[in-house]
Amino acid sequence: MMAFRLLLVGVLGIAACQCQQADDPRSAWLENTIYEDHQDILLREPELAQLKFEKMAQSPFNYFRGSASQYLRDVSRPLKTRAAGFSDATILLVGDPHPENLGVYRDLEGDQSFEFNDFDAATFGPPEYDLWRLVAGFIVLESQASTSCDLGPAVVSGYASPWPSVTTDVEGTIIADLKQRALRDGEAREELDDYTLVEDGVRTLRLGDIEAREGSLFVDTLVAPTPAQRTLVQRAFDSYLPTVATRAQPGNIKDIALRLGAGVASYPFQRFYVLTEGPTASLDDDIILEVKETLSAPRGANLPLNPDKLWASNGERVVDAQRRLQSSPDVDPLLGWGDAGGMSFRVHERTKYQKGFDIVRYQEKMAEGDWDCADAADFATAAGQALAASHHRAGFKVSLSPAQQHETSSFAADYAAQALEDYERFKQLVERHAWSPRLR
Amino acid sequence: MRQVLPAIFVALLPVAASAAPPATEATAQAWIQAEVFGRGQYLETDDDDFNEFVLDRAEVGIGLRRSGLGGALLNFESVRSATPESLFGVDGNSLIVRAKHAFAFADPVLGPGRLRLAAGLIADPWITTLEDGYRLRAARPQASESSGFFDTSDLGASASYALWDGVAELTVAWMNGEGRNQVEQNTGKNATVVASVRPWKPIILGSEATLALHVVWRDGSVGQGFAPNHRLGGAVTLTHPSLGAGVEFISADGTQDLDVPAQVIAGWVDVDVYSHWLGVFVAAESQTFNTDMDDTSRLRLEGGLYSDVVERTQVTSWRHDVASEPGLSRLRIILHGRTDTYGDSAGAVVGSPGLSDVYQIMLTAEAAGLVF
Repeated sequence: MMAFRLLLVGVLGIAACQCQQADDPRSAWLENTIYEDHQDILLREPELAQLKFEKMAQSPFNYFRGSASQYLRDVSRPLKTRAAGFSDATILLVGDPHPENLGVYRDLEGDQSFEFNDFDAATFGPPEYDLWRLVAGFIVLESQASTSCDLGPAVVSGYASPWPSVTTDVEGTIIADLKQRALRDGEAREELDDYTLVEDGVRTLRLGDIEAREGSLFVDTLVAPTPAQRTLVQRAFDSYLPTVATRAQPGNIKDIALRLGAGVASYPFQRFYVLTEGPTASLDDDIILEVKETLSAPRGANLPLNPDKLWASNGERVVDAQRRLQSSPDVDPLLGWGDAGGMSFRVHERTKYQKGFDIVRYQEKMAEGDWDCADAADFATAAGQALAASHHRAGFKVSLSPAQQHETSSFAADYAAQALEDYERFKQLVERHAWSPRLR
Repeated sequence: MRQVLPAIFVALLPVAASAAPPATEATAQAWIQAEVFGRGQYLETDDDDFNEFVLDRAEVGIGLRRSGLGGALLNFESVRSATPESLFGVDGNSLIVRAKHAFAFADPVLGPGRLRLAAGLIADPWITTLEDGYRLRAARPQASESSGFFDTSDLGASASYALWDGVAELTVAWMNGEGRNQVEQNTGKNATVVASVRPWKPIILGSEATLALHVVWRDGSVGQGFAPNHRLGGAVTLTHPSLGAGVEFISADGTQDLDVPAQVIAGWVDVDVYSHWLGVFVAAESQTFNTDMDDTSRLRLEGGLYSDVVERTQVTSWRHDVASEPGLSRLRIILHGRTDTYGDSAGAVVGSPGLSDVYQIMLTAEAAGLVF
């Protein structure tokens, strides 16, 4: 009976076990899911991953930008912060629509358009996921900017406006400002001034801090690639060239640099600037391409079918989604993708003709009184219209009753409040270095 | 407490090794076993439909044992290389091979019963208990497993003692808690206790049936945030060479991706209606994703017909001496259907169950056998 007695001791021991568990389950969930999402990046780029967390902790909106995966987990599972849907459709989604993922483009004919500009999280799902996130993003934006312009309902109203809604219906001051600055900086080829230098008749990328670092955070820095990275980019570039869908084509590679500091969610991803020959041998029409690593999109739970077998790589997924969901497939003329070394990249031109909405400028302009709530509401309405237009291109005809519009706005407000609470939890986790490398 | 269980195991091992007289004449056995479940399926939702071929399970295992002493088991399984949350894994989303079980065990006869000690990548004691005699694994994993409440295996150690040929059995296990696809994320360990009694073994249709009652309790945490990971449940099973039945219930506090209480209740019946050539099964399973909210359940109904082209013979298990001859010991074809219907608040979007409800028709082939 010795074995039985020993087992009994074991059982009693376990019964007395006070296994360590978190006091705040939501905080534990946040820590766990963020770790799951970043496990590979934490191993591959530990310093950059930590800097990403620091960047997310800088502001509520940065946290919101970096937590699309947590949002998707929340809205697709039975938690109390859920709203009734307005569709039974599964469509191609923008994936992570929020104010700073909106901006202006200029096509080969010189026409400007207002579009979503980040499709890294594009995947299939119900259109509600996009709308709720976009509305919540505007509410977080208001919270950070300390304004009370009630932008949530404006987004929903724009989204629900009768088709055909075009994004220029409600252009307003903010989009006009974006277009005007994009035209000015694009024509000046400001990107060449910012990121390159010419010595002895040869243009190369300018290495170093283009913008000063904020503490340890890179803001806009170019560094020399390793030989392995240079080979990787060359191979990705070779596989990218056939994927360009317009008549535009870059020339041979002149220089390559690793770009640090861009993005929030994609902050630690590999991102390169590639200087190439332009249409002529002149130095003035050289082109800068951004070659950005793409990883898998976060996905919602309980969505049974898997139509994403459409694509062979994440780069192709992101590019295909951009072409389908923007107003025209050639809005971004040099858009394409390249795969190399087991990695997948989205490639497009780094041109100042493309300019994104910037929350810091928004805060300044609102504080200075240059912009007011009417301007902000116009922008929010246009954002809603841009999303409706993308969804229409994906095959979903938007139709929301007033009650559905109201519920959408109130749910997004609830979720934004949740995100702001989570931001406080997140800051505490960052302060105690929750995701620091540990001894194993 | 964290030091108690390892101490027990360390203390037990030499005891087991020295005090275990072989029950019968000691025999050494080595075997390789293989098991494959493959199916073609058609899925339909309100929004879309899809058809595909799926490899549910492809396993090959190597076992060694010496009667009355112990041995080792190494099981490999196929798995898609991309995680459920990503699209692409190794070279797209290739099928790759990983370890499912890898452990050493000692199983001496000790007093009126048999002691079993195991350490390594061990089988979850609750899943092992439920699957003992379960005949429908190819058609439907047990609800405890399909719900995600229990993983098939985990790194750790276990000890069990079965009295009088299993009339009463107690198992304790101490594991990382992260399952077989993850390294340990926190310093806490999951403790699991499984108790079974098999009070009645009637003769039905000329063969012995076994009625068993099982309970499980687990305490622990998951992830580096120490999220709670509790389970409490029970099951009643009836096993027999020609039929099976059972019900199971699990209450879960904290699951991998949710910080909410959840539960699952399920039942099944399978009967050979015409020798081994034709059998029928039905099963029902209700999983509630958040017991604090209404309408958060998914109801899964399943049923089908099966035919054993090669009648099942006893396939070896690390828990028993090898009883089969080498060769194909089962070839079963299953034609079955499944419906998943979601409560208003359970699916991907509230009030849009059509997004999540699934209707499936499947034709599954199950093959298993010993190589030697």
